[in-house]
Amino acid sequence: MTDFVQILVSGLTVGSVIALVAFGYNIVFAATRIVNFAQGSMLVVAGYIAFSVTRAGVPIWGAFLISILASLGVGVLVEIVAIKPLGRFDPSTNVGWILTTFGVSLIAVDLIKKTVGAEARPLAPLASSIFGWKVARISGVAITVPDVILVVATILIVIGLEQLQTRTALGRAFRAVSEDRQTAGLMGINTELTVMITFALAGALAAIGAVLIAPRLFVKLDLGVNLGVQAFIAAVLGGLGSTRGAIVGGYVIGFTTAIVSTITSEGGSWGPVVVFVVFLAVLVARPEGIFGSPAVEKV
Amino acid sequence: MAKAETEARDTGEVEEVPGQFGQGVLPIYRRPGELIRFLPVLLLVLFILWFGHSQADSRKWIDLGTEACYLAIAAMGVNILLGYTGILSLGHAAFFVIGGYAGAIFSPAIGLPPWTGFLLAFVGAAAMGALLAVMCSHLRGFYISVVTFAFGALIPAIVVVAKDQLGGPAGRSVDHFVDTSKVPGAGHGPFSLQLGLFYLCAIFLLVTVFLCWNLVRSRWGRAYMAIRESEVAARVSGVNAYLYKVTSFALSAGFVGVAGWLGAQRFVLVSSQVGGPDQSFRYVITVVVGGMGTLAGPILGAFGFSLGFGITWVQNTFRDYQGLLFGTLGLLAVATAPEGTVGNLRRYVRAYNLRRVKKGGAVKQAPPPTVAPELSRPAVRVRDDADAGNGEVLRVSGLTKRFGGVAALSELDLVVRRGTVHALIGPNGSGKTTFINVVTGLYKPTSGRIELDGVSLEGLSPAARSGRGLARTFQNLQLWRRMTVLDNVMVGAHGRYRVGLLRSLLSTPKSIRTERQARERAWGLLHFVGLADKGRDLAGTLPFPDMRRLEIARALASDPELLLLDEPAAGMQVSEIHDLAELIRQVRDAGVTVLLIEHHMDLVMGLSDTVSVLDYGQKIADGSPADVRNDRRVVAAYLGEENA
Repeated sequence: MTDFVQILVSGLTVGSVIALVAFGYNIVFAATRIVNFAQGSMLVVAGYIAFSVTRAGVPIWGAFLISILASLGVGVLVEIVAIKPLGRFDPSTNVGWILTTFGVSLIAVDLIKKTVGAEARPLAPLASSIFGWKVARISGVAITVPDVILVVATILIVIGLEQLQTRTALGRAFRAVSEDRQTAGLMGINTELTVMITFALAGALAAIGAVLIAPRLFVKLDLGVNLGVQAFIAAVLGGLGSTRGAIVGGYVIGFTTAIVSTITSEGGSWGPVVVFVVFLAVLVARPEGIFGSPAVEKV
Repeated sequence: MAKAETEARDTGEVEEVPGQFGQGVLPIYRRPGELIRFLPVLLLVLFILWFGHSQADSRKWIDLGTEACYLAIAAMGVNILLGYTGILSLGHAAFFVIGGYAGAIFSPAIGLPPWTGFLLAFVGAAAMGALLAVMCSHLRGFYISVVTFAFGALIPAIVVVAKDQLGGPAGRSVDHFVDTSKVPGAGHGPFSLQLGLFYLCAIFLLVTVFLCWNLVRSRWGRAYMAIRESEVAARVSGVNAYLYKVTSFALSAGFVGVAGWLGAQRFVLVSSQVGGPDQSFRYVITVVVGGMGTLAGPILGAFGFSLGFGITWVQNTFRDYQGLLFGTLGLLAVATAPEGTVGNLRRYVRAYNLRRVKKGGAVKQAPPPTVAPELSRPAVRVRDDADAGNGEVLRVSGLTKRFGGVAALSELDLVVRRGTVHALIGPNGSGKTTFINVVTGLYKPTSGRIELDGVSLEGLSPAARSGRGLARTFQNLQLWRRMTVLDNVMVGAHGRYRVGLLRSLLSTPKSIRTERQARERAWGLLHFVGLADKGRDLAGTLPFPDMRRLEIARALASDPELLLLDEPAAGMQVSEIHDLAELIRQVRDAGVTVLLIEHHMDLVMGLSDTVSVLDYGQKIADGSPADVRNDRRVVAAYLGEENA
């Protein structure tokens, strides 16, 4: 029973953490068919911004908002540096963007290392108690308020993003631009601005993720790479571009890791192997992922 | 786009379209026979000798030189896949680890002498590379990169888990390392082990250069480039894209594996540390900065990065910030100079040549070689079962192709008789191009039967159909634009002049002989279509009508029985159409049957022996040009019912 609850709690929270990062990949991919490999680093940057602001005495909610606003700018900056210079290209065959976004990610991590330092930084939770309730114990497994906020917020974000993508003019623009950029432009959509907006939104999502995740994992440099890779896997598993796919992919990884580390005595080291094997298997069998739509091929 | 390029070339104002990532590097117009081609290799040898000699007492520099050499081998491996085949792998560092374990741990463990470890390193890594390629075979572009990325992350994770066999996170030390103090030139000094290893790595680098040099000038290398430029065209030209991608992956991985074995000798340790995604990324950046799709590029990149770190300032600034260095360089390279260092150098050379041409000076270029007259004519391959079809080359019965609910072809019957020009006409969207795509095997028919010489083509790949005597051109040109005109035709003859991969790599006498035959045949066909004096130009710089002729020459190079021409006159002027008609007549007179899809009625009516008319995927008329012209249903299809 303890094992079961442990797996449930760990799977849900880790899955939510991963999904929060994966949303950033998806929002960009949905409009551009590009995967922004700098997403993980954007999360780290946002986390350090929030930390710096709280250190200056601003309460966590204020830091949260400031970090979101600043990260909008970070997203735009990434787009200007990594995507703009490539000009017009077909992202499915001309894959230079993989290198530029990856490059930006490496640069960002090293710049933080050089300026802020590499230590892990704590960040206060958005709320440590709800109406005086702080922690619950089920079969000896602790469930804390930040954990609950994390899981609930992730689900709310999925709903919000899906509404944005399917019900708003902006969401329609995203889909039109991804389908055929030229035609979308001819129909009066400002495609460059649309692409930029997706990167800005990805930045904001990174900031939300950073603040929600920090109570569990702190703000630290390796989040960029480790979490970035896991979230990328989640996004591909669920289907790139699909928001609900991201959360499902996140849960798949979260639960797989939790189950594997419960079964094996070695602790965490088997987790990645199993996750990568599952990832490879899904990619080979169904590259578009669970909820994704296959790319149209023209002869 | 083609038009703009054409004008640019004719006026000499703009040099060429700017390079984009993943397109490889433009060759300088080649001047075969000039020894200057070997100059870079000579420089490399001299540099290695000078470096080993002058830095023999510097442990630091010898160590960096060693690293430079084996990273250059790895980068050349990555380049086979990235630069020549056009596939971006983000997991190649894993092969470095695989090569290390296979060559430096496993090979001595089963009793083989340490010296021979590179064999198992190559084979082990190549086998895994082939496996990876098979897993990727149904994917393209970005998704291949994703699978390689996952693979590159999986291998180090496995190493970490397998504590007993592979040593876990700490790795395993190499107990039976190569005694490099016995390598010639190692001397007897305190660093003789290190110096010997440097020379060993340098020797392996030179061998790699030799093999890659041969590879890219062989039919294998050309096929890789053809896949990079247009996979569809490669497949219908007889290149089995699947096989070639697998071999490209395997070769590429094998070289990285050998580098891993050499790296294991340097560290006397094999671990997963050197195999993560960041290392894979570093390989790619090395190749991109040096110049993708060139032989010198990866070497230049690897030497630049490794030896650059020997400079004290660089070391102090970037020791802990390698990501900053590689990230910035990668970003700059991809965004501003996708052709890399070597590509930009070549750009200057070409610009210089063009300036000279503009000033009236001629660029020294050898005239096209003359070849025997029988090589300058289309030929039909003599086959054992040649007349099995009873004078019918192609027989199509009940052919149906559905796309969802739309029947692009329905219950089509068609017979093309040997030695004729058979035209297939019909309004736009009547299914003509679909017909060619189905016959050549690019589309699978929903139902129906296609026979060539009385033998069913069912289940055969486009490449296999090319081998049986089908050749085609494309309505929307599918030339390999960044290859020379001559190379385009040589790939067209891919199935006619066969040399194995090993022979090509080693450039054996048989390989050289066959290569020469293929080249002569290609020159002959260029003479035939009138493009011989442009044979060394890049296909992408030809004027538009010449591109159409080149497509015909390329198709003829497989010595086909049946040539399918998909709107060869589209976009041509009247005089050019006249020349084209003459060319098609000569093709027929040489014995090649022609199936012509065309909208220019003058061309169709003047040239064809038989005309078939398609409308909404069905054949509505069949007969001599005169009969078809007066057919009521044909007139109705083209002009509407009232006019009929």
